[in-house]
Amino acid sequence: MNNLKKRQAADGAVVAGLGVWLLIHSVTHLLNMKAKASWIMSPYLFPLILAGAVIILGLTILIPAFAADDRKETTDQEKHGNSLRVFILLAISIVYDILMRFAGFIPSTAAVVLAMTAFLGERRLKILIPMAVFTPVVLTLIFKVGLGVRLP
Amino acid sequence: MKKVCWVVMLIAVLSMISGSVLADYPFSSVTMIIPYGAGGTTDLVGRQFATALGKVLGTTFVPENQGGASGSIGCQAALDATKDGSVVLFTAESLGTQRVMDISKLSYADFSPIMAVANDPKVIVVSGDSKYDTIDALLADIQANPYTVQMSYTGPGGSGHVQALIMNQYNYFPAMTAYSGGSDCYLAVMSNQVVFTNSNYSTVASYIESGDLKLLAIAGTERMAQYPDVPALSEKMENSEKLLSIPYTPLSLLVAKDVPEDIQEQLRNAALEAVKDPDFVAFMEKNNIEKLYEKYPTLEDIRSFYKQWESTVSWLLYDANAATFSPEEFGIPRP
Amino acid sequence: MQTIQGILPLMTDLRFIFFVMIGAVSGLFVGAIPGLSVSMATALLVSITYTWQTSDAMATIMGVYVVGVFSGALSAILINIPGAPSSVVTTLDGYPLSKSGNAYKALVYATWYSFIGSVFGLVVMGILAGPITAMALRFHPMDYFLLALFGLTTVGGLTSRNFSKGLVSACIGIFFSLIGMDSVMGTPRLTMGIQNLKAGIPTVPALVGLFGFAEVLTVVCQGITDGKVLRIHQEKILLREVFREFPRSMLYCVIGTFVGALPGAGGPVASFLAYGQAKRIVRHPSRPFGEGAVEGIVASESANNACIGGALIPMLTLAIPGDAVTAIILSVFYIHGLQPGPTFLKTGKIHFYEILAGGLIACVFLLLLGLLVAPRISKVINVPKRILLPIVVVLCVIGAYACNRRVFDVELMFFFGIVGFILRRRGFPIAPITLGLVLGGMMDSNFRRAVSLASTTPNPILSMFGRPITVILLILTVSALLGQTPVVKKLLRKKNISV
Repeated sequence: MNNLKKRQAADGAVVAGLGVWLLIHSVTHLLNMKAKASWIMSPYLFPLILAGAVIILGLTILIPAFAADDRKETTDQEKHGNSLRVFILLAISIVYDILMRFAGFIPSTAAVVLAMTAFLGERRLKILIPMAVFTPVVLTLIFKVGLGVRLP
Repeated sequence: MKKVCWVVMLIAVLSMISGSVLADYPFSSVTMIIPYGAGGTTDLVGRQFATALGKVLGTTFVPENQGGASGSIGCQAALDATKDGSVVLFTAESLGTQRVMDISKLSYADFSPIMAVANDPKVIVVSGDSKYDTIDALLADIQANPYTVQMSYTGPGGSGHVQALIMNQYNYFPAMTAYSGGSDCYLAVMSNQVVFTNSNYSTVASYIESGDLKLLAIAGTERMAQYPDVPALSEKMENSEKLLSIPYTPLSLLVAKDVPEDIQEQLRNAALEAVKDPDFVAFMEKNNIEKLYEKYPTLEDIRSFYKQWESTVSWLLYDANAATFSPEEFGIPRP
Repeated sequence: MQTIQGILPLMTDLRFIFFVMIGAVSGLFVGAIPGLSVSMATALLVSITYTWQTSDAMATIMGVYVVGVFSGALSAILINIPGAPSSVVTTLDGYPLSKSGNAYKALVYATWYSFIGSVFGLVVMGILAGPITAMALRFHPMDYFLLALFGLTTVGGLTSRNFSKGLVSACIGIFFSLIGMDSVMGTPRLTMGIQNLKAGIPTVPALVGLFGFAEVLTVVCQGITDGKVLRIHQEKILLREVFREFPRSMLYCVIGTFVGALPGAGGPVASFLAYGQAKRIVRHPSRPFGEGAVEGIVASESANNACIGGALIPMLTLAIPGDAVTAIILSVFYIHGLQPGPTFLKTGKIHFYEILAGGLIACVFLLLLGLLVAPRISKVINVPKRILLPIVVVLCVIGAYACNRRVFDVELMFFFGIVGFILRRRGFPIAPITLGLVLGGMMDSNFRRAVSLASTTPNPILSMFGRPITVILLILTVSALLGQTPVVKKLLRKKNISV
């Protein structure tokens, strides 16, 4: 079993697993339903059907992974990535989210734009500083004043 | 440089259109959440009222439809919004029944009333090419074939549902299917998905005129001036006056309870002025809408009306086995 | 003839044209920014225009509407973030094309076919409003359900090499759409105890996250390849070449207009269906679909713009809005004391002309602005990623926040960004998720309504599937499903039948 097949099997298993979770969730709710309401109009009828579809789809991904078919399938995302960079970016975003609640839009955006641009490889201060200042100010002007959209 | 010029010009133009920046209350725009879809009765009256209110306060009331789940989604949104009077709620009756129906934990108690504005009479309509020409024929068929004559309604606990429950008490059992709004209900009738529905008169008036819908009865106790020949439902069901005389679609203007008193006061005064607006009055009269602000003129009247309404309808739903929780659990006394 | 007489005075009224222009310029701007939707812009406009004359208000709103729907394509093509759900399909071919340095070409095609689509939809509205309403009224809950299902099945096969993975994406979208208050029974479901989820998953933050933030994560993950500046092919694009797609675009326009006329379906469905048809009827695309085929841009843009005319039809004839923007236009009528409904086409004829004329003038502005802006804006692709990405992140945050003013939506946006990123890495296409998200609620409620209606009739199966429209849709859906399954494909290939 090559790497590609392993990935495919994993994908299929995860999808089928999610389907099973949804199935259990919906069935519990359908069973716990008060008797007087009809099952047809129950909100969990459709999730149940969806769960069935997802499980079947998961299996159609999972099973061919074990089949002895070795024709070359190209997947789009085979390039190797740097997951550390992704985590750092996510961390910055989370900080942004928290900062926004306390510090307001302009300061938090300035700080985050500064951090993110620097992280992405821009080192020249004459670009970093204006960006950090102008992005939040210009955006505030456009959105809050220009369009009347409220900002965080 | 050229680019900068472009941006500056664009901003200038846009700020020109959008008018001045926010100031003190009343803000340059106030959002009026209408927790039902566009085109329903709450929407229609709400929009008219919004225009009238805007004129009085010299600001814009922007109606915003946030439909779904018997109105609870929009009500919740109004509660979650900033409590500075920038968001007001214009809603129908479902706030009184959401708790017993297990739709939400909301009730009238979470809001402060500004005004009980209107009650839109309910009418029973069938499609223009329906085989039923009189309410008697329809009722006879429903009675002869329980659970087969189809009716569309706006969801559990809504006014359509409550009235169907009243019909049940008189041994009429239509087959009911829930739709997501008043307009969906009468569209379902027009496209022959269902046989009849009980719509609010103002929403279907133009369809009755154009012949797309047939008016069979007024689902209340009084006939209408425009249609003196169309019977009221209470004439067809004995001893039903008490149940049918309640305003089933009371439309009210509310704000979240925590909105500052002075802003509530401002809104209340504006509302009292707004109902005198000639356009608004003309609209109400043209559509046969009951003026609840005359029936319940003071805030005390409104509060006691809510209490009475909540108890009548909650127990009606519970006794018909349609409610999930007993009204007792929420301290709602039996009427 | 009478209609032409009605709109001519408006088409030559300078004041009217001026107001359309204001709308068009704002529409261009708002539509192009991810997260700022056309419906939001129109809603804002209503609050500004309510003191104006009805004709001025209509002119401005039509300008925003027509140009705003088009300009969603700009950000879709240039930075792979669709401005609105209906531009999602445009990203499939538009972005690859602009990545290879042909952004200008993509923009020119998008402009021309948005123009053609808009004009087509509006003309159809002007001529055939009555018959189309009658047809739309024949659609019962089961038909809506099947239409949605049909849209989803074609999509599954379109956007990924693996049919199952495409469908899984669609199912994920449906799953997310089911979260929140159930619109039929009004009880919360699948909220996992999170109070904020009771209101459901809003489309815009999800869209911005799935495309915008996920794109940022993907680029960061793969490492930034700045330095090699793309050479922009600003070759002269021959009109004759652009118009080669014209005959086929008529089909997409028909799809767009009709789907637009069905309340609740709208732009995303139309563009996906049109794209599905394009894949079937274009035998030799300029490049393979999904790698920058202009034929794909043509399908998506002509269909979603044709939706405009379609969506206006039920609003005018039944006072039922076909989408969010028409719901707002409806409110403009009410604010100005008009009563839309079945008699409106007779009593409010002048306003009908205003909408038609405003729309047509807006189409002209669409073309002018599009062709004017395209060469300038296509350089965005050359802004260094390290500068562009932080700005994109901030725009994503604003877009997510602006529509409901909840910080929770910003968190949702980040969440969907991560989901989109992971799915992309595993080869699941993103586009079907948005369609599932848009259609899921409609599928669920209509399905249950159909079952509920049928359950009280003597013959449930017949009453569910016995109507001609239902039969046609059922056949279409089942054949689309079967035609894409590997087993059937193999069988057909053996027998040398091409599908």
